[in-house]
Amino acid sequence: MGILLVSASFAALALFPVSRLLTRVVWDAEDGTIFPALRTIVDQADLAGVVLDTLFIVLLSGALAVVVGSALAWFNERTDARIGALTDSLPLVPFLLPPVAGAIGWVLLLSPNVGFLNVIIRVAAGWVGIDISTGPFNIHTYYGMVFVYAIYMIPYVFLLVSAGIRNTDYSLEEQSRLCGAGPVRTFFRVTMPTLAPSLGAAALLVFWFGISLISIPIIIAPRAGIDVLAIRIVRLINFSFPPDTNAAVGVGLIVIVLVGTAWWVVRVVLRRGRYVGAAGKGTRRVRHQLGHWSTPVRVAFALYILAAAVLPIGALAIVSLHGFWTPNIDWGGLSLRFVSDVVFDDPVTFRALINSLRLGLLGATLGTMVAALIAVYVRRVPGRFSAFIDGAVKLPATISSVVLAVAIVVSFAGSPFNLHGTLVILILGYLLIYFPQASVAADASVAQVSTELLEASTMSGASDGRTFRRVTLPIVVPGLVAAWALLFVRIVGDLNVSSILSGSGNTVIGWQMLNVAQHGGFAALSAIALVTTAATATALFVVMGVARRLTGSADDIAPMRLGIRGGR
Amino acid sequence: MPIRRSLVLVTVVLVTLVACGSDDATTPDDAGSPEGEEPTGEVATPADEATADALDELIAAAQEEGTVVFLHAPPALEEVVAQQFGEKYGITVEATRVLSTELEQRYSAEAEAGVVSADVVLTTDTGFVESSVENGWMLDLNAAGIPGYPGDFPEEFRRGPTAIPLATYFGIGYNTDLVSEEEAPTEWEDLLDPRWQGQIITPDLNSAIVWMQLWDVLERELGSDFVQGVGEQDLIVIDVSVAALEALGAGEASLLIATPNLIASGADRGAPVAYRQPDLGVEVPFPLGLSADAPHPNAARLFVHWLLSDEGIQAVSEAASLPNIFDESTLPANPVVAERDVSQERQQELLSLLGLS
Repeated sequence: MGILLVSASFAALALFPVSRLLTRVVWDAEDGTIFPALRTIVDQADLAGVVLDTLFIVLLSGALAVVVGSALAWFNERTDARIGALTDSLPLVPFLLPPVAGAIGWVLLLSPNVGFLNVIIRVAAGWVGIDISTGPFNIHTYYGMVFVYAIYMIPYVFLLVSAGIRNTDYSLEEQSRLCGAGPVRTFFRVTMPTLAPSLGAAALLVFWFGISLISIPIIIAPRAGIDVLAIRIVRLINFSFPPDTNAAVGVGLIVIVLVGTAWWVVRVVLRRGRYVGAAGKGTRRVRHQLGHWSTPVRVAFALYILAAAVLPIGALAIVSLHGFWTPNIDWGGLSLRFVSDVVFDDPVTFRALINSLRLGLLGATLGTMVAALIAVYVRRVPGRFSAFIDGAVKLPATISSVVLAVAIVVSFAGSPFNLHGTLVILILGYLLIYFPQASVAADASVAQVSTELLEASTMSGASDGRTFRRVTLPIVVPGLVAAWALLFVRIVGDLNVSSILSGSGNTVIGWQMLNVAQHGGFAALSAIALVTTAATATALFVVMGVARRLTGSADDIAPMRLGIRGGR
Repeated sequence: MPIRRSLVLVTVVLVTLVACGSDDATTPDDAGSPEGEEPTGEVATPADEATADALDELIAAAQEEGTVVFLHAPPALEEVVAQQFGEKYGITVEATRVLSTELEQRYSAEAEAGVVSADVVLTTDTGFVESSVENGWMLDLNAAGIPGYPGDFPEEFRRGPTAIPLATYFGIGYNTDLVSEEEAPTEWEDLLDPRWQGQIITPDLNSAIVWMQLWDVLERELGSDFVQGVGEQDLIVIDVSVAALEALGAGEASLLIATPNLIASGADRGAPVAYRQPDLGVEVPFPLGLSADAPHPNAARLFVHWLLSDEGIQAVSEAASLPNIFDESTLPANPVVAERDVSQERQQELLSLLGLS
């Protein structure tokens, strides 16, 4: 009953501003036209091209991310290629960097004329007598966009799939091998189905993430002549006053349809798929010995980390030490002055960082708890109402964060709520927009709890509450930690929500970063981005270390073995 | 058991954290006029000439209120307004720089919700202020009781219900490492020089109406052959102004179509960039808005009075590195005010002339 109350209230909160927006689809009160938003879709002749471009980039990068991210997760969890905390956490680094900073990092590296990497390559080519005038690489292309999108999607996949792998019972794979199935057959018949919930959730998340991304395409796409849906929506809002909200909502409808389709597909997989549930805590952790393959795999890890994290962060660091972007770096003139001026000596920035970290802690914890409750509720009580709740809380993610933030102000800032300028309205904004990510991660981990396990617990005499605490919760903890991490990082690094809801009374770091960039340029932005990344990484490291300790200690308990029957 | 206990502990810690942060939750309103009460003292009545009495009354009433909240799109105004206005009258100025699109979105969202927090705004879209006045969100400056306004405020910088205390003009920024002073373009037509092929940065015209307005004027004044010629120069599109400026400074290209204050912000950081103002200057206005339901109505009026005076204009133009509207020598030889509305067909025409559609 309590779960139902919480779930329903949160869904109501999510629906309130959204419904105000969606009514515009049907009725424009000002000029009395019906279906004004739908009309605008027809009016924009090039929209089909924009949809195709968006889908091409998101699907291709998403597929790449799922393959690479899952491989990294598997190698890290199931083989001896793991190098302790290094391979546990380094693939997550791109995810820690605010996307706008990451995008700028790649522009610094691969701008066709003065990108650092391009300059280095041209100079090296010059040594061997090859004369290249521009490039050779250009970030402002389709392949450049797919590359940067994929880099930022991989950590999502890594996080979710790692959690999933940690929960799977290796004995199933062992038994498959003992029955004579080869490694490939085992992989496709046992491992993959076990991981289906995590893979499905990861695929959905990266699709969502990709479709709603604004900061990466705004930096990279215009010069490539590419337009994506999220940018089109922002243009319609920002082009002139009054904003063309009808058209923005109209394009938003397309996003809702695309995301809704993806969500429905994954839901079908999770509910009807014949996958194996987790057999409980205390499964043996086995690591394959790779022998002499472990070195190449480690090298691959290192290369990935170099490409995804070290290079862009290095570029940002150089620019923040230098004061402005240039390929002719005055190595002697590098100084920490800009960093300290902008971050530590400026009380507003410092307070903004603390605010953001606090909001991140609170928002992530609240969001994860609610996500867990809703996931459990939906799982236990299947049916139309729970599907409605599930959908309602995920719906805001499909709406452009810019549009939604405005709707939140209109709905909650004035009477009777009077939340204007407070931290509460910020948390509300963050939760409504980022909650769906946590929700997807929580769904996946709850899906791994097999009914047999729950039945066994109940038949042994445990109450519902005890079953939840002793059986369900420990299994879902890795996935929930992933959900927590997702929320935390997104909230601290947020720009779009903050730009509307934050202000002088409730400054946060994303907003402050934009402000400061206006007179401080890339150097100031990089300085703030890097310090923010370091702060979030530290916080995450601590939390995930604690979580690993919590789930790791379960190895001491004698394992409960169940059959290989497929379960719901 | 341990998990439940730790959950409770976590919740307690978090609530404490948020409670400790509640000092941040005070809105600017807390420092201003008490809710629901009329400010003491009459609002100064409109007068043809500034009477010392009206001004004195306004000053007294404003000082009672003690604070004015000011949102502004032009950069670098926070200090100068705090020092020159704030210290002069003993009134706290809460000045925040906000990008014009966010400023307008926030302001209108707040106005719709009935919780306007800004007393005075300085934004970039005259149309925004005009429709705000029509909506009753802002006051017509001519009838708002500003002592001494309009007085001898220049006619060309009064636009209906609003005034333009600050304006900037589009011109051409260039990279001083790649382009010498002699080579740097001085007029718009110089952009057609073949040496600038693939060397000119511009934002996407679809990102903000001001860019459509600029090219609308340039096409009218200089002809469509000129615009088409520029289009054949293989323009580099970089949307975010900070990114465009940094690209210019790094030498990714040689020229950037921009406003002087953007270039100045780069030069201040040591980037090798400089600016040329062509004689034909297309105006980017910063119109003034005064909230109808201002939290601090008298302080707001006093601030506007100061901002529109010789002293105020001098101070803010210097601080923002912008032309002084009272001093013709800082303005371009041929300043042009753009037409506000650019029809869809016209937009498509300009985009295809420039090779950007």
